This record gives sequence, structure tokens and C-alpha cells, in this order.
Amino acid sequence: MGATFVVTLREGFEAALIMGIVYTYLQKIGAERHYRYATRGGLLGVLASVALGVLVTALSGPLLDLGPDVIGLAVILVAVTVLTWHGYWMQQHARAVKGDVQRRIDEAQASHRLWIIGVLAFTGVFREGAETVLFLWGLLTQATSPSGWASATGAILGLAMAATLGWAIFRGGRHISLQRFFAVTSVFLLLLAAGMFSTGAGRLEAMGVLPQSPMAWDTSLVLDDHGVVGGFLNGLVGYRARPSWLEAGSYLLYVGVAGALLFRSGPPKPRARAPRGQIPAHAA
Amino acid sequence: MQVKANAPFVLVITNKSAKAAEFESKDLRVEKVVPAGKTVNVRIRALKPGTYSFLDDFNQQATGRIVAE
Repeated sequence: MGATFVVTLREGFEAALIMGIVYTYLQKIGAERHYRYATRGGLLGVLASVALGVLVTALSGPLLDLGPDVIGLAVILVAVTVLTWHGYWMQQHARAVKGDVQRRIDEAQASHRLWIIGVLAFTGVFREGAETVLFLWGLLTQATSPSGWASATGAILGLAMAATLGWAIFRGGRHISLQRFFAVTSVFLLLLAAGMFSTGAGRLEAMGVLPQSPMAWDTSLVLDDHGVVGGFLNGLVGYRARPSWLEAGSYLLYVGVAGALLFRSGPPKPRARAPRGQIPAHAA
Repeated sequence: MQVKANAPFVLVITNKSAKAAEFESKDLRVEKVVPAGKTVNVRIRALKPGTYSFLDDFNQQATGRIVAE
């Protein structure tokens, strides 16, 4: 029971965190009536997970060998893109938090396309979703013996626990200031995206698309990334016990580039530009 | 499990149990769900000599090692 609890808690944790963050985010910018973006994204993620789970069970041969890998890579790519985009936008907005509340909220809703929130929710749920579906499915078909029941119950409790944590973030997040919420989640989402980016690079390396590189370090004796703590850190901030140089390098590259984009000091100054369609005087 | 170092190979994983399994190896950068009763082929690139661990992520007592020599 304990083992299956940990598996689903770990698989569901990331999704619950992201869902908790996006709902809090919508609440913070006064877009409660747009919760449906997050809800629909999350629900579509669940549906897609079930569909992929069914598909994987039905497929065989090369489609089963490669299909899920390609889908997995695509999800990572989309997730990194929307996380970066959203993080960048949040940071811009956090800086502009001055002036009256209502104007701020209107600006937020007008300038940030809220469907991105939906995509964020979708990828957050779908990334580990198909795996969780298959895992649960296997357990439920085995739930005919007392031990089978215990395993299935453990798994469902694990998911419930993950959902509770997501809910706790939403409840707790409502009481902290907008700026603090943006600051904390920006850093968290940046590291989450960096971990995904590095995982994607590692997958491409293993598939032979990117060149192979030697191991950068080995901390598997201190903190194994297959263990409970290491596994959680792996899911949250991309911790790896034995990464290749390519994986470590792409992590740092992402943190460097996205971090510079997100946290450069001062608001971006609008550039003075000559109006279009006018011929400069000296050229006439 | 022993394999030849510096040569690519294909790992043929058959799940003979009635539950889905996930072949996972962070060392090999592979995460592969194998539904009950199914067989999955995983291409592995040439490995440097060394030990590479793997496990069933859905049943973590099931572990193993690939030794490349």
C-alpha cells in the first residue's frame, strides 16, 4: 500500500502543483470567472492521458516502441515553451504592480492570453498522466485479493494526497501578496522548466539525435534520483544523480538564458522608433 | 545483464506480469511503459564500460543492472 501511495503521489504532485499555481494565478489577477481555462486544460489533460493509456495498451510493434517517446518529447517541448512564456509574462507584470488594483487586473487580463493558462494546465496533467492511468489500471484489475485492494487503495490515496497539496497551495496562495506569489512561482517554474529542458536533451541524446557526452558527476550514493527524496527533487527541480555533460549543460543554459530574460533588472524601456512609412528627412 | 561496451544494442523487454510496468533508467535516459503482456524494443546507444542501473518504476523492488564490458 505504501509503495503504490508513493508512486501516485510522485506522479500526481507536479500536476497538482501546476494546477494549484494556475488557479491561484487566475485568482490573483482577478480572473476567477476564467477558471474554466485551467479546468478545461486540466480535464483535457486527463482525457488525453486516458486516451494515450488505452492507445499504448492497444499498440504493438514500432508504434509502441517509438510513439510514446515522440509524444513525450513533444509534451516536454510545449511545456517548456509555455512555462517560459508564462514566467516571462508574470515577471513583467510583477514589476508593473503599481497603481490601482482594478487597472492592474484589467491590464493583466488584456495583455496575457489566458488560453496559455489552459495549455499550462494541460501539459502539467498530461506529462505524467498516461503513466499514472496505466499504473492505476493495472492495480485495479488486480484488486480482487486483499493485498490487491490495499495497493489500489494506496494508489488512490496517493492521488488524493497530491490533489490536497494542490488545493493547499491554492488556499495558502490566496493570502500572500501578488508580488511574493509571482516571485516564488517564477523561480519554481523556471527550475521546473529547466529540469524538463534537460530531460528532453537527455532523451534526444539517448535516441542518438544529439551527440553522446560523458557523465558530469555521480552523486547516486549520496542522493539517488530513483529514491523517494531524489525522485521528488528530480520531478520538481530536475535533480539528477548521474547526468551527462549535455544534460547538465542544457540545464545551466536554460537557467542562464531564461533567468536573464526573467530577472534582468528594471523594466524594459520602450525603444524610440521612427514611425513607419516616413522617409527620413535627409533622404528626401 | 551483460552487454558489449561501445556497441549499440536493442533491449527487448517483455512484461510477463498482469500489471503494467515502467522500465526506467536515469543512467540510460529511458522511461518506457510496458503494458501487461506486451513487448517493447528499446534502442540503446553504445555504452562506455560501466554499470547502468534500471528499475520498474511501478514496482520499485524490481531492479537490475546492465554491465557494459
